Amino acid sequence: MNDRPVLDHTDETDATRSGPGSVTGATTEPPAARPRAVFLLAVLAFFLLGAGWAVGAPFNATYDEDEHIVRAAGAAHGQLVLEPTDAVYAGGAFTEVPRSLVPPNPDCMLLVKPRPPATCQGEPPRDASLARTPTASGRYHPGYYLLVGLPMVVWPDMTGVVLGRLVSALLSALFLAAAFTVAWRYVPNRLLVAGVVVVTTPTVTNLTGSVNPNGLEITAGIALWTALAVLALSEEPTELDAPRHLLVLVAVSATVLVTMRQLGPLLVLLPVIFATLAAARGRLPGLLRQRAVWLTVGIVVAATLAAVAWTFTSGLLSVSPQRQGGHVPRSRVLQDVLNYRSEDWARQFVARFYGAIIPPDWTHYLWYLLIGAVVLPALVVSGRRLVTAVLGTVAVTAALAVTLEFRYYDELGPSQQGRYYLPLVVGAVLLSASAPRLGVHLGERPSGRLTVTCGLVTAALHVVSLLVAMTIWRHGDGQFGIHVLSGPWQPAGGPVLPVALTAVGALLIVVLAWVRLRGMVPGVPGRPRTAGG
Amino acid sequence: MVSASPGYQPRRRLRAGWWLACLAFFLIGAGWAFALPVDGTYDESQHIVRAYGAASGQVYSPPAKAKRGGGAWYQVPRSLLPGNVHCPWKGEDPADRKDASCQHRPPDDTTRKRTGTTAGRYNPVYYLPVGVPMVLLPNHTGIVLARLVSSLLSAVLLASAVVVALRLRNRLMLAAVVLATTPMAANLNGAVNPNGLEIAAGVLLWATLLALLRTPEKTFDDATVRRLLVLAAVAASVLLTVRALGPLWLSGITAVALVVAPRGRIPGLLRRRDARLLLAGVAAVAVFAVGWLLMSGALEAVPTRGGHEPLGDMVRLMTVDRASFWTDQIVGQFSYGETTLPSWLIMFWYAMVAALVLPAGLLASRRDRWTLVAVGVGSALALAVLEVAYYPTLNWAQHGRYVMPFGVGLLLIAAVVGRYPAALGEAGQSALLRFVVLGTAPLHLYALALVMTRFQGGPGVPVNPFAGDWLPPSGPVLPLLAMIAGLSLLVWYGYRGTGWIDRWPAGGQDRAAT
Repeated sequence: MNDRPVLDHTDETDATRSGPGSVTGATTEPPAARPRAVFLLAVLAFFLLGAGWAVGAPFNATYDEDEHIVRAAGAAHGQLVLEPTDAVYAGGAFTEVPRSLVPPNPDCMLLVKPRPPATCQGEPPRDASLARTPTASGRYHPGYYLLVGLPMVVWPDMTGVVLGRLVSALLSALFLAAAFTVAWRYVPNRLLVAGVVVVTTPTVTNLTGSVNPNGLEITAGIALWTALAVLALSEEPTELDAPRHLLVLVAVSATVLVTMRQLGPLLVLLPVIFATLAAARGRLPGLLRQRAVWLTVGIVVAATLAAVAWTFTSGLLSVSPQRQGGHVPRSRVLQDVLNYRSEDWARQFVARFYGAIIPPDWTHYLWYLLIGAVVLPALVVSGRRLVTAVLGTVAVTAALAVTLEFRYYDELGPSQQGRYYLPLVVGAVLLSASAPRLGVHLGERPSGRLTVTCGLVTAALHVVSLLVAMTIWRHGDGQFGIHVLSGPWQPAGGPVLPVALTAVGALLIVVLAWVRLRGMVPGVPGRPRTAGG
Repeated sequence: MVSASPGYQPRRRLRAGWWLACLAFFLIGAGWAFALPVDGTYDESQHIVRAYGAASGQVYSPPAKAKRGGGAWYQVPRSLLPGNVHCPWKGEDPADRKDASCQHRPPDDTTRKRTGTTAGRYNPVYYLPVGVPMVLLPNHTGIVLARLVSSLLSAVLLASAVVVALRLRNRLMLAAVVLATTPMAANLNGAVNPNGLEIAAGVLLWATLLALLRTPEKTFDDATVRRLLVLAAVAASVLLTVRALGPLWLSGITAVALVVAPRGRIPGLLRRRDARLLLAGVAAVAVFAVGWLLMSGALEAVPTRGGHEPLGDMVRLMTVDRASFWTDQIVGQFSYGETTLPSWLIMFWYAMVAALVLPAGLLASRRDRWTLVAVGVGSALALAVLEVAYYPTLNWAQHGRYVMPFGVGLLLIAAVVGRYPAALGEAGQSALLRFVVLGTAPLHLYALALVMTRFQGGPGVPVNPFAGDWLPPSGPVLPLLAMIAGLSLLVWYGYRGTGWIDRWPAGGQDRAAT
């Protein structure tokens, strides 16, 4: 017999239960107060996080933004479907955009060594007449571009670009806030809120606050995973209907996700598979008995078919060789992947910006510390199904990235980027954070504290990341350290506004997490239950 | 009271655990010892000269401008070191860095010549045992044997820390010991460099002090308390003597241990005669260590390449650049800082650290939580303060590994404070331990393969530890096999070896969990 002293948890009540245990919201759980207010505040918070980047960055400061801006302006001028042509990088298409939109040297910060400040781009002409312009994004689905391009029709200059970025930030903020509110509303433990916070990395907010569909794609992935995790890991009786807005969130986020890129259908299918794998036994049949679930499935399938049709008709699948040198031995590609590419991918999951702007290593380690604190204890205390789902998500993400790197290496050279796989890999964190047993083991208040800690640390790192990037945009490679208050280039709104917006957004998230912590019932770590997880 | 229970034979199991852990850590260090060329680890050639000197009777040498404007002179056989020992890394330009085949073969001539070393003023305690093989065999074989002695010394201390964890029946502390032995620490263990032993001593000192101070009275029988006291005294003495920063780290560890000790625990220990005697012994060692530091000139920083920067710029540079070097190196930045593990592997290591430390901190009492924060912040601040203090004389000279003897306290404290062990339960603790031993093993192996490749094929070539223009004298397979054997033992023990502690009646669980 083991007489090692353990805590007595026999007084565990419904009020101290953790994990996604009450998707109907009909239990005795306390939180759930004013979800609409939470949603609106979260929209504001995540919008501000992206807005800091939107107003702080020069033209083409985020991955291929110049290509996306041209596509967006063209789409908003009515050119939704473009003829596939060898326009740029032996691909893309031509579209008509105002001459005043693009500065004369948009790539100078990438091409000139050492990197000059953003003033090297020069001033765009004042001529707003339309000119035939190539774009590498010419074959992409026009849905996102139409929305973010509209301001550029009214203001065909940098003002329009910044407003387009803000529209993009708002769209993504809607998804992030939906995920945040679902985590707040339906999951009694605080850890899924922490999960949403730590997957919203500086790379994500950098992308959401720019003209680049990758940000919306990632945030749709976060929303999809969050909703699926809550649905799958709920401990509610299976005869109760799943809340409609969870299903709506699944439908909308999956529809956006399948539409954005060629990989979209896979980025929806895999979360569904892994969430199903993680689900408690009997959960899936319970869900499939509901008509609303079938309706959701129908919508997603229809959107997928439409997306696949676009992929085949738009010319997206044709890859034109951009690399000279012929076949590269696979062993060399593997070495490249293992030593360099994987490092870039892991950095880019957190903070690696266009032009290889990378915050100090310790900022990445701090971020992964937070992820480790959420994910690894969940793996330790959870059942085999959830562990398999989490590890499977990571493994499939890695396998997919490596496979595609191998597949396209000869034609494109190193082509895969970590951000492409963020919509998928975030699932490992979100599933772990939803683990019913994790909240039970940690207890309510420590879970809340962990969430607030995640908010505080990530807030600081969001600001540091922006400061590092702005320093380079302002000074080029000439300055070491953080110097955002000086430099030849200056954002239109001044250097303080972007930092202030990001800081306020990040702190608002901390406040929301803290409110969630204060609003809960104090409890003690409970005994692990046999069911779930 | 701990008492042997029929059938489980805990004493035998503890002994077996010690031997197994000692063998495992020794083999991990041995992998590095067999693999690298002379000077393949930070400043190894300097330490080799000092170790030979100490073991050959030159225990003390007057301070002189012998190397980089400081250090001391020793008479060392010509056969010991290649004349151009620094050629693989010398030069700031990465293009100048080569594989180890550039090192000339040392002559067979064992006559001695006067050789300068920057380590010439360091305390001889570490160098005496490590130097003996080189006195007997003043060539590369002697150097490899010296490294093995170094690895063995560290393994003894680490295995003792493992036994402390077993006595506490605390698998989280076992995981902490495994996580504290990063690839960097293992590399240092298997090199002629006192830093590895210093880190191992830090691990053991934390483990023993926490076992003595954080367990309820009467948890251990008298003999066990005495053993723990002896181990603590040994660890403290090693820490005091092997490097100049030892007294600082000992003060820090002791201060933190006093803070986390429940009221009345320390007076209770001090009522024991053996505790007072051992304390007196450590005090004597401290007098010797501080006396050596003052007499030998080891504290003199020779202003050879100092810099002049305003404090604000120094802080900025430390924040952006140095802090990354510190954090990278704690896990794996090898050779002379030019060979670093891919950052995602370092991230993974820190994620495992977080899995132990953060939940433990959140489930701890306020005092314990702030203690954890203080150890983490204190480690970073200590490096920053040392950097600022020595910048005018040594330029940027502080390394993350320097602070590890103190910083590993973060892991070991996390293993015992608060309700985390109880919240995880036995199954959860076992799973975390399994995860840690299984997660760290490939990283150790990859680190070795990476650094072997760097010296065999040159910097930046694709990882292949089996080929290159230079190969370890014992061949490339032996180091890898030694490493694999050591790691396999650890993994096996993490999976299968600790089941008996759950059947061991009574034990030293943390007071907070009782």
